[in-house]
Amino acid sequence: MAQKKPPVRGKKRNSHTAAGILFALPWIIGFLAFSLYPIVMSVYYSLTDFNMFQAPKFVGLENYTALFQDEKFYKSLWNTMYMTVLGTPLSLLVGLLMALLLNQKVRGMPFFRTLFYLPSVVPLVASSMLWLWILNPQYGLLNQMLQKLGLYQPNWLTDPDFTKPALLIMGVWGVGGIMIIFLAALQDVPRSLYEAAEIDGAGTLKKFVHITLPGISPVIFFQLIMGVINNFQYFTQAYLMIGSSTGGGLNVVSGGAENSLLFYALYLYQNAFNLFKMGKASAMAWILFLIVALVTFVIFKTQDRWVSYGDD
Amino acid sequence: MTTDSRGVSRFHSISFRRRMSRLIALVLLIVFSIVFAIPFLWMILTSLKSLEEVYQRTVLPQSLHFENYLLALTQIPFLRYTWNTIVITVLCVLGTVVSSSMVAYSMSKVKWRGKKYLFPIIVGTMMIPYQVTLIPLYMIWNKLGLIGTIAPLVVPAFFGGPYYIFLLRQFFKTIPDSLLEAATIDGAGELRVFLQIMIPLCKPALASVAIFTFLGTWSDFMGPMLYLNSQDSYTLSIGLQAFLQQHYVQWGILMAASAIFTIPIIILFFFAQKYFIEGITVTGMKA
Amino acid sequence: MKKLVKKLLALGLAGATICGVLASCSPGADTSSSDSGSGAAQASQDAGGAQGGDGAQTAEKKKVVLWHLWTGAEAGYVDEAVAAYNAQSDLYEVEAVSTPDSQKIMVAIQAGTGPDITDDFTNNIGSYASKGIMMPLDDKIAEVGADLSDFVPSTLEACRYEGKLYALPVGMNLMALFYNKDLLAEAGYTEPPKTMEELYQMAVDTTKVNDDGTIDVLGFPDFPSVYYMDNFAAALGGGWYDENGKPASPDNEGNLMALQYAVKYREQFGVDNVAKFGSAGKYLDPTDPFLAGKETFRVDGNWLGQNIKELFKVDVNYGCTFLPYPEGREDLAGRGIASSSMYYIPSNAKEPDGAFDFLLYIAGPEGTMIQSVSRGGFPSLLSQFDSEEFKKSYDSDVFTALAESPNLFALPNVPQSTEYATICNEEVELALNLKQTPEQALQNIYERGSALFE
Repeated sequence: MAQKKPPVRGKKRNSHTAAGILFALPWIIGFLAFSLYPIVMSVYYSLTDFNMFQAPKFVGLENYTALFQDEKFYKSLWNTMYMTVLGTPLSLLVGLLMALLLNQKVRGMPFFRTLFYLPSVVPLVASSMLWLWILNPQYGLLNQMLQKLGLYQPNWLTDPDFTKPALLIMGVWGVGGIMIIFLAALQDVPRSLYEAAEIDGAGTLKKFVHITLPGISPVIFFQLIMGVINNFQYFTQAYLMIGSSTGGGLNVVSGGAENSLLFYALYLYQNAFNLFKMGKASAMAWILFLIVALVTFVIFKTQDRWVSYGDD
Repeated sequence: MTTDSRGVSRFHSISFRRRMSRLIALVLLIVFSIVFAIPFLWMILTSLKSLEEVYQRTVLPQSLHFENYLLALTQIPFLRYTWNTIVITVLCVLGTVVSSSMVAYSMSKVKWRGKKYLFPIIVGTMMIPYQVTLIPLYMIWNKLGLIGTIAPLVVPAFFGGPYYIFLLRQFFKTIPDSLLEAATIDGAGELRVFLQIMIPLCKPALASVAIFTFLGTWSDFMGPMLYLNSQDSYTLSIGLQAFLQQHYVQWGILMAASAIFTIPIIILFFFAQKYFIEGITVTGMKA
Repeated sequence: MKKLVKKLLALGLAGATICGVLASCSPGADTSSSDSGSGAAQASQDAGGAQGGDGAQTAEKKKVVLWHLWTGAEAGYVDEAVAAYNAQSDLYEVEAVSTPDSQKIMVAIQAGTGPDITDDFTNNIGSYASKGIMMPLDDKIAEVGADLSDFVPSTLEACRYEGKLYALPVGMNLMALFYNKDLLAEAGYTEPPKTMEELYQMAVDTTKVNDDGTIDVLGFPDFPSVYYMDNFAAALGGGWYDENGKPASPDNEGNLMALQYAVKYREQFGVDNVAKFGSAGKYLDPTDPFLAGKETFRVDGNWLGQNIKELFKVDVNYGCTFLPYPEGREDLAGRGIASSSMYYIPSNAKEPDGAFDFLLYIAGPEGTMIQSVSRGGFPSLLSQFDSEEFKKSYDSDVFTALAESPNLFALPNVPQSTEYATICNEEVELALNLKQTPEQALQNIYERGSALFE
């Protein structure tokens, strides 16, 4: 018996490896065809002086050392950290709460679900005008409400202390995607566990902490990682907000009020496509990659402590 | 009223509590619905205003300018752009759902050593800002002679998106191994396990992947702008730019066009959302 | 296992087939240029309402691809000019594609898949020409013996880099002082200011403040602040560049005066209040304060009148005059910056001869008339100042005088222009927010600028 087992195991493993490769094949082919070369080239660009139009000139680590002396580099890193550290938990929390609310057994739920998802669907060109209207420091809805409450009415669009909070507020409306993933995850928590807990007399909070949270922890983990990766590359909303608050079409390379919205990816973009410093932009990209990879790695390391994949 | 009515009153209080919590939930739902509907309602209201009215900062339109919708539909080749957008979107959704779920299966439930090395690379590719890989990627499509076609927009979808692979992997991993082993003992191969167990069990996740891909492709501006070179092949999101002119924006018509742009996504979402609550088969199979 | 392999292979094959079908039947493929070309030409004819040559004639002509940044109705004007060109050209057929994204144009040009001719603004010429993106035109001009004497000299100057001509202007952008007559009259003024000192006094007198200190009517032309600084600095005798195209000295009086007055106004009425007012309105939009009669003075371009009267149809009683000069410096009257929209030929254009032929047309009297002047645009050709179409446009008298002013100048085209402009904006912003003095700002601009130009 003992002699017979190993070959069987070996055969089994081989077949699994073949299946593993075959199922992963689409991605492997795609990676080799469309990702590998661009990645290698961007590493090479980061070691050159390259303006997109003339042949790259090798400069060694000059782009990297120059970045460490660039004040705006640190500024953009700080702005990005701000959004990541505050924005990620905020959107996860709101997204989860909305998903829990949408998971109730109430009539007309399809309508509520659709309504909650609406802000994610409205084109940015349309919603950004609405936001300028809501955040308008003198006539905006938000400041009118704050005025009625007797609170300070900040200058959301041009006070460097308030431009990032304004983006955080806007972000709350965009949790639709996060909410849907949570909603899908909530369905996968086995009903039987709740029923068992109810028989034991567990309250709503207890059920949430001991059944719901562990049940959806793989998805919380996913949202956290993706929140970090996406927030570190925060770009579009800032780009639109700067464009519309500096009076669009003025052809200005700007990072918002006193560069308070100069996010890392925005600064990278400006270097690449406004200033044509592709070498510097590539160096920025790889520094960002190292930072995000490190943060993600740390989160992955904590996984065993709080993420439960059922009986895996 | 002592012993046997206690049970009754307890029963009553439970159902009362349930009703109360349902009522609270309903109130919260309505309040948040209004809050979340603001951008959409505002878009619709603005789409019915004349330019002068947009200028006057009023909330409700004084008279309804439905002609904005007609103008939006006629100022750009709406039908052609819609068709172009549909073709690209449908192919991307199809490709992404099929390929990403396959790769996610390999990354979660297939027992092989390679996934330990492959998975971090998949996640890692998302950490590189697209701005610096865009030029070499464009060069590849240029070498293939496919600039100006929809190939650069749809072919990559058939090779799996890292975000969706990661998402589906998380869902797949929660499916108990015991369930799969039972099927394997039945003599089912990996493909059958994948098609007959994983896919049906993970419908909510697959539905969200489909929705996200649809929304992402439908509203993508940069991809089509970069790779399409003739106005005949443009998509709706490029078409929307026609209403954003350099020195002035036709807000009413832009909002009307945006509303038309948005409606297919809303309809799709409305019908797809029932799949988000349809994933409870795990317990059923276990029993 | 075998079954699995087979099924997966089948799946992969199906995928590959779909891809293949897609690639071959996709519309507007780059390679099938002839039919996509005629399609676009058809579209442009429909849009422009002009009649091009018949089908047979079209097929023989060489195709010239034009990508332009315009959209909507403005793209329609380009289409009209293109249709008119195609109707009169026996050699070339121009295909116009609205491409409202300069990043795409740059990526395509660097890959060699770009257009034969495209448009942009003159302030980018230093950056583009220094990287070899643009084709120098001098040889071609000499070859066909093109006469450039009709171009407004400063606009042509704005198209040069290191002595070579790289583009031709279409239309001109000039900035003047707009003022609200009613607001001035309320404060007892019947004439607009001539000097900066007068302007400041009027600005203070016409400013209206709400109970909470916020501003109801902004007297000073602080909005949009990006327009204020560059143009007032120039009007007061300054500018960000010295005569050698290097950063201006930190002692430049014009720059200092422009910045000091803006800071003074903000100190007087509260920097937060002015900033709030500034971000409460969006430039040329329903919320624009000048259009709402809430701004006394405004630095703006020749397009403002057209926007007020034709597009927004607002009833603002406005006037237009030269920007002010410092007291006692009449010699500086009419000082200002000329910039243009322009068309250029990328250095790797596949059909440069056709592109050049079209360039001469679109920048010439017929092309500019169709695309720009008859739509209220400001001419870049001297001969068009007398045209009926131009005289009909708003404030043409003031802008004509400005265009003829000897004090009008073009910004030097240098490779660092974008980056230097960003530095200037950043330092000026800090000064306007009272985070540093005007003197410090100019010193910082000089130091950072000099490092950049090394």
